[in-house]
Amino acid sequence: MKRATRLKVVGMLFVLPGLISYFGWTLYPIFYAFLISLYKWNLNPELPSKFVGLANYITMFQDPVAGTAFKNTVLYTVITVPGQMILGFLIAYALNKKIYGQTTLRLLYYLPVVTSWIFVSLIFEYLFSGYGGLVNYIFHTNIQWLSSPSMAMVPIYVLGIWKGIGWSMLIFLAGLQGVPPSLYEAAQIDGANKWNLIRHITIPLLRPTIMFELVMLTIGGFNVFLSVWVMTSGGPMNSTQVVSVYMFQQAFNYFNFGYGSALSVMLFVIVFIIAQIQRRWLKSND
Amino acid sequence: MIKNKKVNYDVSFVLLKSVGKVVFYTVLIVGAIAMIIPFIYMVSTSLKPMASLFTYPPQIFPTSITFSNYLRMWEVFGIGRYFLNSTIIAVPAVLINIFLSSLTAYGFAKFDFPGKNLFFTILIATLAVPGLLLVIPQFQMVSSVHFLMNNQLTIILTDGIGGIAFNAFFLRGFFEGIAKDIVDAAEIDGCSQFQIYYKIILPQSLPALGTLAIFSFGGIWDDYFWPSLILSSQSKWTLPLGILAFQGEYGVQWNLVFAASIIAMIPTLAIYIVFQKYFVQTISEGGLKM
Repeated sequence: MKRATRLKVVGMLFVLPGLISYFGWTLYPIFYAFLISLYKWNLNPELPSKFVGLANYITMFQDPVAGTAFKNTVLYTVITVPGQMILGFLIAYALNKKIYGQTTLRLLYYLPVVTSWIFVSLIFEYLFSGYGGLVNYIFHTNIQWLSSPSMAMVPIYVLGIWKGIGWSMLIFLAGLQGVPPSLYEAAQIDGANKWNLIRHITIPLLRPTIMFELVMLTIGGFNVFLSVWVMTSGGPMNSTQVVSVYMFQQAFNYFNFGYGSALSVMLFVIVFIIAQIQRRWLKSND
Repeated sequence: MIKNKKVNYDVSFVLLKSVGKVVFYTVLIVGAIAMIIPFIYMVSTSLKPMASLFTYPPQIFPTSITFSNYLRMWEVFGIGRYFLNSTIIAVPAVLINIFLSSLTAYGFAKFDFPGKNLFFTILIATLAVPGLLLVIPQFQMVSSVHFLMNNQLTIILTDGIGGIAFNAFFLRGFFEGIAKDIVDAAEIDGCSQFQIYYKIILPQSLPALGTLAIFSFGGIWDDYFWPSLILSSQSKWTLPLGILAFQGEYGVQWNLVFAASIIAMIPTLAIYIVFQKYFVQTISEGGLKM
């Protein structure tokens, strides 16, 4: 065998195990999910699944709980993504200078990121408990955070931002290292103030970092699951329902697999469209 | 006169600057405290006896301390079993995951073969797919094979092959950065392609592999959704399943819940601290760009 041909075969052998598992365990399930969403699906292959066309999607548009779930999921993303990015950027900007205690501070801000969602959700449930909770005590309030429909999303937003600041900070720190200090010096000589420096030098140069964060955090935001699952399970009275939790309940508590799939397909379509728009928008601003 | 004015200006400027510095540090430190208070409260609650759990005002630093909560979670609740289960699943799964991802990434980084660009484009295009979309079809696939249900091996395999697209995309950049002459020299020395991969490429990429190990281990150790669907017998449960079930049953005994949570959190934190050096290095070398 010729060397070039041999190398081609070797290359294919390297990627083969990964590609097979990827096709079987990711790509195939994506199409399978679309298929299931068109059926009144029965998990047991011996019992027939009934083809219902778009009925699951029609149900979804008429289902007020699904409406709440999508609204809450979008709100969660719209609130927590800028929250994480702005705070993460400010902290990264501050910690990018050589200051005393820099490493310790970075480590502290990163701690929530490496802690599991389950345990931080448990802590927040306890912090926000209505009677004798630490949050009520510190702020001298008396709010039944998690059991009042109008307030229950607040602890979920706070947790989402609190947990993500460190990640956002770390990625911005990496980006900031790519900004040459000579640029700042030149602009400072020209009389630019700090805000001008950030606006006209730092932010434009960080465009790829901002794009990466925006897309990743948006995907993460739309997938919010464990914090809601642990703290409220979507209650009280579905006021904190989000798509992932509702999908889980429909599929695995009520065995409405077709409807659950329709919910997840809808979420996927929304995320996909938003990710495309974000990419276009950030690229066109170059 | 002019000279005096300049001095005055300098003094007020320095003053303003140091006031700014104080504000700056205060904000940073208050922020850091907000980051850490929940953890401090968690640890302190786990050390409280039942009686001081419901005192008002709440005690951030408890007046009396006991380790009996940890002991009880270990002896009565049997958290050791869940810990063992989590370890049995996470360790092989991470190894499989990193092995498969690095093989795939190396194939894409160093070789040319028909369909390479197409396959890679497909991998990238599905990076944005939410895991949520995959759960129902994956559950349908697994549940139709009786052997796979209520089996820890299933979790090892599915976690082992999960997330390959992202990992391969992440690692490929690092592999491409490895100097070509090292690889060429090894080839002339008679190394096979696979030998080059595991004797040269892998050792050279330890920071990237370490970073991946953190991501992968964290995700698998903390996963709740998927194992809760597969593992029905309590004796096979992992830590998140066991602790959430306990919390559901004994919700108000937060001291016990947090004692268990802290035991469960230790490995992830330990791994992060061990690999932290690699982690920061990798991220700042720009491994995460789109």
